Formats: sequence, structure tokens, C-alpha cells
Amino acid sequence: MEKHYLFKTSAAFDRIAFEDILSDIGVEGVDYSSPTEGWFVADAKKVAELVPLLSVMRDDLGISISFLVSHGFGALEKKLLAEAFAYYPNQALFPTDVILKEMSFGNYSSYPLIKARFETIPHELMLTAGTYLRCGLDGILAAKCLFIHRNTFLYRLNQFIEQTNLDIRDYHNALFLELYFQLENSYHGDFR
Amino acid sequence: MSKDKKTETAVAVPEKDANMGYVSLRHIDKIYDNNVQAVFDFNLEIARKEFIVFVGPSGCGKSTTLRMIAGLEDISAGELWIDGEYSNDRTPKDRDIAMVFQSYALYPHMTVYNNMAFGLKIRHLPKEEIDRRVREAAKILQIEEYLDRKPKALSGGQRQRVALGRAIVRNAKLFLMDEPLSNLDAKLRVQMRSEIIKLHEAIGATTIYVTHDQTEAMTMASRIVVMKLGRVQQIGSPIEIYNHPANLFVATFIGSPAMNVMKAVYSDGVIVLSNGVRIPLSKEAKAAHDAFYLGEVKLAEEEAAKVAEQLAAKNGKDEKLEKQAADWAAKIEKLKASVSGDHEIVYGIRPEDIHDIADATKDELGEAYTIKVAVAELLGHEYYIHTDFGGIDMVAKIPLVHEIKIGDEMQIAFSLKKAHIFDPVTEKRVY
Repeated sequence: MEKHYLFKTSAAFDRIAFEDILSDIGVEGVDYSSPTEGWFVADAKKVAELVPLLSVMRDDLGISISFLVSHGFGALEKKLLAEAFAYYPNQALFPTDVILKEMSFGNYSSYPLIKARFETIPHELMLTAGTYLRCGLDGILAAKCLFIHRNTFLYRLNQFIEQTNLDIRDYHNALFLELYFQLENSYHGDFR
Repeated sequence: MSKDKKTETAVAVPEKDANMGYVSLRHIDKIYDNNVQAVFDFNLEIARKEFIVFVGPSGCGKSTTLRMIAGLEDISAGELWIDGEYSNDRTPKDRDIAMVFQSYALYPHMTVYNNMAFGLKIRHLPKEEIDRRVREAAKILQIEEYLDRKPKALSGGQRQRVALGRAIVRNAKLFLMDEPLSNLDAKLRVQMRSEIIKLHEAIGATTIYVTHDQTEAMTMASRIVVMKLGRVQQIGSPIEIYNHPANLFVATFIGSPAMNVMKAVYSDGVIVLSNGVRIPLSKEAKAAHDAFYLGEVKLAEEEAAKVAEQLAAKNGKDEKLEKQAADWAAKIEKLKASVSGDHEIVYGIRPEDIHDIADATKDELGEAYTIKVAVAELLGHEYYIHTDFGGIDMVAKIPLVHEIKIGDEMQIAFSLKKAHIFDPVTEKRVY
């Protein structure tokens, strides 16, 4: 499964050296949106090879750098990247890491952007996805709980994935959806 | 979420002080946006070539302080000077610092040579210079034969040496090491400790080393900075810190096994434990006790006078100041009573300053006490004897002269001059 690796740095840096470091772990095709921000797409598991390099990267390039490893690339991710860099520099974080840290400080500012991801998704697909989570990502059990054939379940799950671009068969993506459900169910958008 | 809380107004570069150290940290604070303060008023002057160790438990602010020196975290307030240059706002690259990390991070697919050379290549040093520096560092670290290997072909200790090599080739002004030995097994840690010390002797780089391990601090440092909850507890040489801890925290954090501490009552030069055991203090200790509390009275009277002045300026009508004045008056009375009367105290004695009467040759021992051995841990050349002493689990280090077993009775005595007493409220060392 592929993910977007968004990054932000404290200053402009040697891009050739940076790309050399990344190509050493098999990452190619880095794009830049500014002298200090950019992204690349790579396998979800590449983060395990990236994390140990953060300190040498920082030491050699002379910059602070933060990564956000995300399924998507929109306003929510840009916001989370900015927060990851400001408050948790020199780390590779998932969106759920940043959101959970926000919430621990009573900050629910990401909620509207998270909600917007799922507003247009049909209820039937949300129910399918939610049941899948509740059943511990067991598709057979989820189909039973929904009283549908397994093939119907798989069809609906794939529809959900296609429409949200959120493959919840991945742990971090599933956690993202779970967070949304928890926020929605607990607060109905009211965090006073 | 919290952001760094920097001072609101732009500050002109402060004036250099002729007396400042090679690295100078003055009134350094680290405050996050939600007003959580991680470091409080950190002050330290570091001489060239010194090996300074920041030590303390997790969360004490030692790594945060190191990161502020490295430029990886903003400094909320205070001044950082490195080799005479005001460095608060300088980028990490411009501070000419080399870092070594706990994870001994290396590029996995580069050879040892290229791992060490990479940072220099980015800085566009000539090839010949890079080659010279890499080979020189490899010789110092005894890793010449590994230059063509990749990290996965190296042991943990070898990888850490390569990580050190990456720092050495930089010829940096300052080496910062953040718990570099934490990931190594115990035996390797001991070996690498001495290698780092030898390295420091060989290259003479000013080094700041962070660790939670007090043994590393004691064996490696020229000076130790003990920290707790963001505040410096004491700065001093290992011997000073060990023999004259500033407070109860330093006394119990440094030393293994930890100092035995017992809540007691001080009564005219005698420490009385909860079970009635009486430990007379030396004349020196009694004099120090009286001087300490007289000193505290004087300090309290000075503070009380300041409050009285402020209250007088408001014609004696300020509720908050009136309460402060009353509090100081009560504190002064209590302190005066401590000089002359009985009061609570904390008594501390290190395990090695407790002696078996049968074998002791020292003559400054106090009274003998009979104890029953609850646990006898043999370490080869000495025992750690655990016993219940007045309701406290006390540990004594007793040299192996004869076998000691659980249940044995022994007569022990405390070395009078090595005992410590601490104020139970402020936890400051009285003697």
C-alpha cells in the first residue's frame, strides 16, 4: 500500500543530498511545493526505514525536518504537517498521532476537516466500514453482523475505499476512521 | 497543542562578557505555548575541552537543553554563546556542532567510509581532505578494517564507533551526545564508556553528554550537571557531587546502591530514629547544623524585611502582602526553634560508609548497632547487606572477609564524618 510522505523543514537545504539519502532507502520522485516543503509517494512500510535516518539527516543537512505519513494530501494533511513540524519536530508522524496529541490538549480544530472527508459518503458504506472496524478488521465476521453475503461486504468495503481514498485494511487508516467515529459519537461536533 | 513561547519583542544581540566560557548558557528557559515550562533558568559556563555530563531522570529537561544548544529547539529566553558567538538564532548547521545519538543512526546502504564522508561531501570539502579526515578518524576509533563494510555487517559497538566517527570528521567546535550508549548491552556500555573517554583525551573536543545513568556521569565527566524537573540541582565534579550533594535528590540519585535515608528527629546533636535508635553526630556536624539554620533564619529575615517594606509602601493595607508577612514570621519562628530545639531531620549514610565492626580499621566510627541480615548479595569482592534498621530497608557494602548468610547477626557502625543530614522541608543538605 502506498502513502504520501509530506515533509517540512526549518530552512532551505541541499536537495541533491536529501534525495541521495532517500534513494539510499529506495525512495525516488521527490516533489517540492516550496524551498522547505515537499512530498513523495512510497510504500507504507518505508516509514520504518525512514525513522532511523531522521537524526543523521538532520545532522548532515543542518535542518529540522518532520514527516507526515498520510493516505491523503489535502487541507487536513497540510494543517497536520504544520503542527507536526511546530510541536513535534524531527519525527515521522501519522495523521492520527497529531490528531490524538491535539485532542490531549483539548484541541479539536481538525474535526471539521476530518468530518468533511466523510460527509458525502453514503450511510450504507459508513456502516460497512464501521462494522468492519468493530469486528477487528475481520471481513467474514463483519458480513455476518451486517447480514450480507461476504461478496456484498467486499463490494461495499471497496466502494468505501474508493470514495474516501482511505484503505482501512491498513492499521493507521483504520485508526483514522475510528477517531472520526469516536469524535462524532461522543461530541456530535460540539466540544464545549 | 503547544508551541514554543518566545519572548515577544525582538531582542538586540546582547553584549559579550569577557568572562564567559567557551559555551555559555545564561538564564536559559524553555516554555511551551500552554505555559508548560521544561527548563528553568539554566546557567552554565563550559570551558574549552571540558567533558560535561547532564544527568537526571526521564523528563528532567536534559535532552531539551541539549537540543536547544544544538539548535533543534528554540530557546524561549536567555542567551546561548558558543565560542564567543551569540547563537540563539543561528541554524544548527552554523553552530558547528556534531551530534551523536542513542540510535547510532547510520545510512544503512552506505559503507562505513561513505557514512563518515557524507556530511563532509555535502559541505563540499575537497575529496583529498575528506579522505584524510575519514582515515584519521577511523584510525583513532580502530575501525580502519571496516571502512568497506555496511552497517548491517557491524556489531552494535562497531556501529556506535562509526557514529562517533561521523562526529569526529566534522572537526566541530562542540560534540553533543544524547544517551549514545543506552542501546548497548551492559558489557559493551562499559567498554564504550572508556573508549569515549580515550577519544575525548585524544581529540580534546568540548563535549556535552546527556545520560540518565549516574554511573556514566560519574566515570566520564569532568563536571556533572544534575537536573530534576527542569531545574539544575547541582553542578560540580564527580567527587564534589558524590561527597557533598547539594540536596536529598542529588544524594540519592548519585551513587549505587543509593544512599540510605532515614526520617528522624534531631535533638541536640543526636539523630533519633523512629524506633528509638540514637545516632550521635560529630561535633562538626552539629556545628554545621546550627550554622545552616542560623543562615536560613537570616535569609528568611531578609525576605521578611522586603515584604515589610512593600507593605509599608501600601500603608500596611494589602491582604496578599499581609499574608506573606505572616507566613515569613511563622517560618522564621520555626527555623529559630530548629536551631535550639528538637525538630524533624533526614539522616543519610552511604552503603560504603557503614562498616562491620569486626573488620573495620577506621577509628571515626560511631556506636555499634546489632543488625540481622535480611539479604546478603555477594558481588565477588563485597556484599550488599540488606537489613531492617529502625523500620528502614538499609543497605550496607561490606567487604568480603568472611561468609555472610541470611539471618546472621552483625555489629555495624556508621562513619561519623561521612554521614549527611538534610532539611526535610527544603531537602537542602545541612551537613
